[in-house]
Amino acid sequence: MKHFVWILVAVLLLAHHDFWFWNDDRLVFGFLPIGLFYHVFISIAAACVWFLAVTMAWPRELDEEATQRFSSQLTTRHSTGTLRSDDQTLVEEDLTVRGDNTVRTDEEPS
Amino acid sequence: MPNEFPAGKTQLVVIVTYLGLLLLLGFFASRLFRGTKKDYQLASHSIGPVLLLLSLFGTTMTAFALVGSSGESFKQGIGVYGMLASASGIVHSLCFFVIGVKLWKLGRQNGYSTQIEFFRDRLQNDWIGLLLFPILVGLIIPYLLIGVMASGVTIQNLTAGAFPNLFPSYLPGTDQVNPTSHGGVPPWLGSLGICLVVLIYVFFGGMRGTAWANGFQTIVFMVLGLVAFCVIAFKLGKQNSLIANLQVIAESIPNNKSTRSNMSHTKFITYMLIPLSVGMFPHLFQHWLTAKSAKTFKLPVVCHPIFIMIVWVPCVLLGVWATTGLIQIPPAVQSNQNAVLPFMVRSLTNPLLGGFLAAGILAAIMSSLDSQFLCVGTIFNNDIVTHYAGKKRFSDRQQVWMTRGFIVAIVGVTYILSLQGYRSVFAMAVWCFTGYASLFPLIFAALYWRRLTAAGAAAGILAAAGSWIYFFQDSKFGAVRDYTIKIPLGANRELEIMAVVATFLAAAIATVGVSLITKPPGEKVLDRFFPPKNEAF
Repeated sequence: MKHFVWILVAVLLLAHHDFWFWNDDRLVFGFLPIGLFYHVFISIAAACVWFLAVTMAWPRELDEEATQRFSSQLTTRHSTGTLRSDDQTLVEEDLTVRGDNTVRTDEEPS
Repeated sequence: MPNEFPAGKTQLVVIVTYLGLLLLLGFFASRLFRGTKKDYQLASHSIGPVLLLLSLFGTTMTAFALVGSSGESFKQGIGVYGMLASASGIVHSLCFFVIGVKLWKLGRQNGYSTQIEFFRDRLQNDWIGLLLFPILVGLIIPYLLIGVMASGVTIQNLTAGAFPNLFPSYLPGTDQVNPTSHGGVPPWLGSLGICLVVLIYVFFGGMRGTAWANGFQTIVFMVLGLVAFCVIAFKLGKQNSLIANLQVIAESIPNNKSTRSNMSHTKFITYMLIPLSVGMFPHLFQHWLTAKSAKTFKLPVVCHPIFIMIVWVPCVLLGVWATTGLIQIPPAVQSNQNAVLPFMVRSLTNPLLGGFLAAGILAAIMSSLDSQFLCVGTIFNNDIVTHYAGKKRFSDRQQVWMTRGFIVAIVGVTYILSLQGYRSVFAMAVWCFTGYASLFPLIFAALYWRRLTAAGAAAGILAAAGSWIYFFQDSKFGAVRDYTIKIPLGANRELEIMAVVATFLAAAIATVGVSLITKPPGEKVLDRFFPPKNEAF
């Protein structure tokens, strides 16, 4: 699916160069020059393609890595008794510490 | 009553009230300040998706988006939207996705606050920072100037008539009153006020104050931009419904403005490289690092093209409408396209709404200035002072104060430079974006190409800087507004391309070529930046 998304991005980049409407002065809906209307469509299409990209081609391991990293930092600090204020901030902002000392990110379902 | 309280004064009161609100916002943000450098520079990585969307969008949309786009479409027609807005909708989100997310991850892992910290670590070379420093800071100065100058012009145009005896304004070389600016707060004073307000909320609020102010101002300029568009449509069209007004106005648009008949195909195509500058904007790098998590980026990636559309379509249409003859544009405004939007707002709306719309334009300008000021202060502190003096030599609190000191200095320098005279916002911005876009191969290679070496990176930076300086001086330092490279094709035909193509290619070829002939980086370093598991993109 990742490849499909990147093909769509390439199509979008190619479609951006609309030489076919270059000298066309027709008005869409009676007020929008067609050259401008087409590029408004390109903007909306871009949002749709990027929606597909973040849905299908999102690097999910980033969130897993972050959770693992914070978890390991937290465990180390707890075990050595050196939980610093900076780490405390990390806990407050990014993680919720469960009763069994495991952690979850704020965006992970409870 | 109108004689006792002229229109210009009403607008001035609204502008001053708006600036007061911003200071209040900065004050509240400063109450949440935790006193650490990380909190001052990166808001402790606490920014969620909505605020990240608003702050990234507010930061990328500057005077260029409102004042510059309307002025340029007044001159070139509707093609300006495709040339920059729809192209940016694709390319900006691409940069957020493939550059921003990855840099966020590396930044969180390794504790970066600036691009130079990343490049020094990635290339294991100290000199690369010294090479990049003057280029990144040097390119951001014209970007800052765009905002400062545009704010001065906007305030003067929208407060014209307020103080005719105190601030008279005459047409150049004559003793005739300039009707568009006579009695308005002069640019030196308006720009000074804007600089001071931005300075105060950045100084006290740091990145959190900046992000909050950006979010607030983005909402303000988007909403007020749409309101201005509708009000002006009713005034120009004189019909009962919005659609009827739009249709009446559209029928009066000259053919060369409703098409791209005067625009070169190759120039349009090569403009596509300009938005790549977002990948190397140092202030955007800092904003990316404020994100709470990787997922925070999803909303900005998807919504950015729509937000650009919401802001640019009305501005481009307003610029084109100014060519219809339904409103007479005075010669003084025609020769200073930055004044087209303020002039239309002032001429076609009532003083109160005009004041609100002035606040909207200023909001767009200030939402970029604040990030840029903060970023330059951070670079000076992190990459020069503490890097060479030693991090342990200064406490966190001392570093916060040093960052603030540099911010004050850069605001002062920018303000003084802004007094040197008028330049086209659009032309200056394009040169600034050209410089950053030329460095795009460097950031892309640093993230996706294991073979990049410090020597290759240095060669790429020098090639980008050298070629940029050559073309910039060839354009008479931006005075030739429509500067392009013209390649003769024979039979009186020529290919017209943007200078960014040459500077981009020079940097890419130098980066790749020199990297391939120099010793590859060590595996130990590469493993940190290219872990086997990461096959994200």
